[in-house]
Amino acid sequence: MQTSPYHVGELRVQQRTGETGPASLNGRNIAPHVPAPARGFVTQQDMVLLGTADPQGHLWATMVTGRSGFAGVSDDLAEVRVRIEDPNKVLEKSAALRGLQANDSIAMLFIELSTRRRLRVNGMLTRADSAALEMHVEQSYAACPKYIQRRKPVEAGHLHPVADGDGTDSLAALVSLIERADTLFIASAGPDGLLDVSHRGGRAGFAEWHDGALCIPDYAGNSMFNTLGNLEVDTRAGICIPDFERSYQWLLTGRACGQFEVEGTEDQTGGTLRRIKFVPVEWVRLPFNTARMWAFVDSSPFNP
Amino acid sequence: MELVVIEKRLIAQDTVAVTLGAATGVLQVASPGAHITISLGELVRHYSLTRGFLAGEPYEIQVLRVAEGRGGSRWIHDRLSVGDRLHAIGVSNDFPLVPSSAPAVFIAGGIGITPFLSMASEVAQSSRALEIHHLVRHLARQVPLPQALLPHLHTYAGAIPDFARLLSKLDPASHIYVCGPVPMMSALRVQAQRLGFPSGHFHAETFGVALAADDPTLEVHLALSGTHFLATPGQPLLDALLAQGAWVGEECRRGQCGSCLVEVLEGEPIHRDALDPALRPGALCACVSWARGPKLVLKL
Ligand code: FES
Repeated sequence: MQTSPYHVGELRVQQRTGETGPASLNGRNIAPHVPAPARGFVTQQDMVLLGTADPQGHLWATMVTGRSGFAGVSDDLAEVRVRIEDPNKVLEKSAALRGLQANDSIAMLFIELSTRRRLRVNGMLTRADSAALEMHVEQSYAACPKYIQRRKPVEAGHLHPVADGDGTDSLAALVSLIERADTLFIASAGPDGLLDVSHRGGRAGFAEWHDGALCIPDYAGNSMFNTLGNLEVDTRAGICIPDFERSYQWLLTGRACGQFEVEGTEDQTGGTLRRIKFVPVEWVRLPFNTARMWAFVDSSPFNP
Repeated sequence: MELVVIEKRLIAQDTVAVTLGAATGVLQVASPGAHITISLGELVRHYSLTRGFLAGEPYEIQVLRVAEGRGGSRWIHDRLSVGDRLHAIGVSNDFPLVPSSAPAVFIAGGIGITPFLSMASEVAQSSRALEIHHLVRHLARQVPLPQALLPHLHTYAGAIPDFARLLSKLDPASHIYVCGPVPMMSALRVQAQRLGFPSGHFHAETFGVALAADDPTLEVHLALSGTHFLATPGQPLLDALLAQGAWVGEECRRGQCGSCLVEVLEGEPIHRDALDPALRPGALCACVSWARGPKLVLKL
């Protein structure tokens, strides 16, 4: 038997939910480099989600947009490179990417909303400056397309003006976005600070804001429990809630925990009774770094 | 997990039961409906467990010899012997019994009865109403059922029952479990929907790639990347796509999870998955499905 690709936190959640069997099956699909068939896919992408830690140790998930071809994979499938365009110096305003340097852990999620395909790549930065991020890949895998709402890119034409000051916006505006959001991303860290960034989606308003916390249902998935597993060993988390139609995103950083067997959440969780409770300590609203916009096509038929 | 063959015996025409023990350590106790994933060289095969639900009990699988299959069952029938080792990737359960007190109805085609041996036995120990409907081509191929299940068994040999009638006689709150050939599962799903059974009460499982002898070679066009190639029957479409450098997700590889769904822009799919069709509008499961041909255009 090969050694398990999972860490202690993931195994603990797999055991708690009785999904050790399916997890070990799906663990077969984790590779130490980018899978060869995904190379062309990466080159076609026009956005990527990054999971990073800032110099204070806060975690962030950030959506970085570009043009098809802005990301690429080296011939030996061991390196991923993302070119960063930031004409309005938007990304510089967020702590998320400021201060990144070589040897920092980084997670990338390439997600093509129009086809629901995605690829997760986690590894170490080999170069980080305002023009590009380069990563040495440690883990890569496909991840499942369930719960992804389809969207297609549309020409945005112009860039939205950058928010004033540090970009912090009112809580009321954040809560109103949460009420209609159908997609968000969560960054978390495993043992040794290895980062991960995952997608969460559902019907509009699937994540709920209660008393200063964001409750995100955890639907039936691939049984790997990367995020919940990470939260078992490290409660830091970062959340990105994009408004695809209006070309901006909210980035939140804080602490989170997994909650299991939560009574009364049958409908909200699609029967898993599991959710992530995230308490933000800091947040910022940022326009997308390039003039990009996506239009809603349809919801995932898998959404509970 | 390394397993060792403890016993292999013929239990019905063309059907063997293989008893498997742990080569080292102890076996994980399975739950009714669970299957084991075994790697046979290049092939990966899924078999329902028919034993292994009690601590200390060995696993058992029942395997029908499929002459035109991809070789997994032939290898088990012709080559595998007592004392041989097998590598199992794992045991999991995509087909668990849904907790309920409503009647449980199991409808199986041929060797599709295997998951129900454990599931129906579990129900038989409770006070729940239970029905088992087994469609077999030849009685000689029907695997023996545990004594406790016989009073609940209806066998249809060589004839397909009228599904509409069969389902219309059931309690509308019943949970219906179906396992067998894809056309049978689809026909039952359609009737169950028509009769108003909630979709959450219809449960289906497949057994991986069902190859049809008359599957055509396909001209596959990938609309996003602009490539095209010929896909020949025998290799799953998913593998052909990956080999062509097209990125498609995968998990179960048996038409159960929907990870490999690909949008079809042109062409007529032959669906062989167990998903509710409402979950895959305009798409096909590349791991098990095929198309009528000659042309298949995919959004990849
Ligand atoms: S991989 Fe699960 S349905 Fe194809």
